[in-house]
Amino acid sequence: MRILLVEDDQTLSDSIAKALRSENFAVDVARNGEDGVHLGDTETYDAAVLDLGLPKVDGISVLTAWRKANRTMPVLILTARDGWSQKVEGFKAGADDYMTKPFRIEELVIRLRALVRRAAGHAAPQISCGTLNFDAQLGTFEKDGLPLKLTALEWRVLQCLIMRKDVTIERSNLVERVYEGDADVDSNSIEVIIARLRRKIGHDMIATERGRGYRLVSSP
Amino acid sequence: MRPLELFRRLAPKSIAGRLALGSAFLVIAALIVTSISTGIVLSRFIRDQIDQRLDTQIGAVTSALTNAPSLPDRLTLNDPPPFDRPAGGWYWMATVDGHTYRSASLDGGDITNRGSDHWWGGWHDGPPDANARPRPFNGVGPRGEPLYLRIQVVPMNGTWITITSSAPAHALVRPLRDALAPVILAMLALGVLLAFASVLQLRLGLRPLKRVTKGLEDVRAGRASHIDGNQPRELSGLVEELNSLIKQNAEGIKRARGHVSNLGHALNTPLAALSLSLAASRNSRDGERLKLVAEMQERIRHHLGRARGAALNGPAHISTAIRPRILDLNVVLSKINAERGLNVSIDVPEELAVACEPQDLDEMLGNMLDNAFKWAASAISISGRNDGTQISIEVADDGPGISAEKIQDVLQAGKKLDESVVGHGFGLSITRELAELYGGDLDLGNASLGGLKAVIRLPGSVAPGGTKP
Repeated sequence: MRILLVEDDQTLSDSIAKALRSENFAVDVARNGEDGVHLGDTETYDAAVLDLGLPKVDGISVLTAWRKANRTMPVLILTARDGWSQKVEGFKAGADDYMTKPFRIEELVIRLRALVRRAAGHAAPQISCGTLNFDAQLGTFEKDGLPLKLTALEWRVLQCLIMRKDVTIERSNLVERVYEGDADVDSNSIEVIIARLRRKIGHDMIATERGRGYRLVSSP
Repeated sequence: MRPLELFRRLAPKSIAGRLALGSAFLVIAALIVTSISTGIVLSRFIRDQIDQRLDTQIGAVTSALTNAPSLPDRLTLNDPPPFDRPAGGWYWMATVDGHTYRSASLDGGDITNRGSDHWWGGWHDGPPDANARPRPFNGVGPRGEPLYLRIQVVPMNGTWITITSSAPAHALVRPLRDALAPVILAMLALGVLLAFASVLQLRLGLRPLKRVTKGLEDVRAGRASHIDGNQPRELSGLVEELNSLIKQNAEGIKRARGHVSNLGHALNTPLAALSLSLAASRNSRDGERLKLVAEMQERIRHHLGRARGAALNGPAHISTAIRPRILDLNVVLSKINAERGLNVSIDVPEELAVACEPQDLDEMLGNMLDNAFKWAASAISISGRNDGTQISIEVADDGPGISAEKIQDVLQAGKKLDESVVGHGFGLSITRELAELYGGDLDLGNASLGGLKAVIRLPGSVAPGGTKP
């Protein structure tokens, strides 16, 4: 699960990024509107957190530019301007949720998870695949009713697979949704992560579609 | 007190009154002067006519006497009318050396000279002048009737003849009266007409002022953003100044709101960073600090809300249609609460509009709707109607509702009903404060749906195509 955070305040963006990473999210940070437009337009994200008061290009224009370029990822507006008129303006520009500063990071995390889940077409927060269960609200996996311990990369890959269970996900897509923009991606790393996941949830749960990608199988 | 000051104190306070008084004074003065001068001209004309007649008669008598070889005993002239009518006041009489000749109309009576009260009349001192023209006098006839006399003394064979001819005094007055009566009536009619005309002119002339007043009223009531600049030249300066004042005012408000908004941004962003770093900390005392941060946040929100309101300058200068704002807010809240499948019914007529800034209306309705969305179990109903004096908008939900004792708490700034739901209650107190700034109010009660019913009343305005409540 990869998030784009567009926030000009260094302290705040650092602590948001840190908090989101501790919840297993991959986070790219843009410090101004221009970078925000560019990143959102060229990279793949599961969701974006967008401040409205940005240098260079303001938040509403960033959002409008994304939507114009058919970038459909859910966008959560995070702003210190808490007026309802701004909220309406944000939603009209294509926002999906809105939070005002100061806020609780837990709430931001919950809302981001909900946005990503809804965007993938899941109405309920519980997503099951065979004996594997994902609580999309808490962000926790259970296998056979027992909590599953995963590293951040493993969590991201598995989350990505379970969101579109029984659908083959291209390897490149997986790479895009798992690694942060500035990460050094080893060409084998996804395979390594898949191998570790198979050991934890059962080899048959993840099918390899040669030359294409991977698929989480609900009835192996 | 100087006369000017007295005039100022006594003069009517209205421009129309002043102009009317001034024109009435001028019209009356003009009428009086015209009447008097017409009278003088007329009376002089009439007297000249009579003088001519009398002088002709004097001439006839004189020539009859002077042409005679000796003084006759009687002088019988063929008197022309009206000297031939007896006792009509048209007489003549000539005396010479104790001998008196009379017109037939005198019937043997005498004309008595009562001397002259005309400034131009009276005898000269010294001997009569042979070439003098007849002079006017007043006198009475044989029956005591007042007469106007012309008397001339002419020399004849070493003696003097005094010739008097007379006309009845009323012959001077009656034609004047007959001629002046219609003139004065016409003048009075003219005066009345002029008065009407000046009132009409005042009405017409002052109408643009009324229009400007109406325009200013419209701006104040939010029906217009500025006064129509298409005005008579005398008023265009005033209207221009008023419009720039209105614009300046609006810009001032906008600037003040911008400052408030920037202040909010400037305070909230570091506060957000602080609260995040406290939340991430494992220090047990940071939990309390986090509470302090939350409290600071609420205080900032509260005071910024008030500051926004204070930036309002008297009644709003704008008209905001309600329905579009509610639809927009509903889109926002329905999107946020998409999963809960709430059934929202909106019954707000298109034409309802309030005299509030759109941002403030958003704030008030947003907080009310937000509260309803937060607490509703399955249904929310939004309805608006025109109360006649105000517009009332009701937002009801089927949530748990609030007990009567707690309703007061909700409306107290910053008191939360349920600490676990961020911002609950707080929004409604902001709504109430804003509503009161606009001269409206917020009431809470029990909804027929089962939950809370919030009713806001705001001053109405005219929506495009609508009518004022």
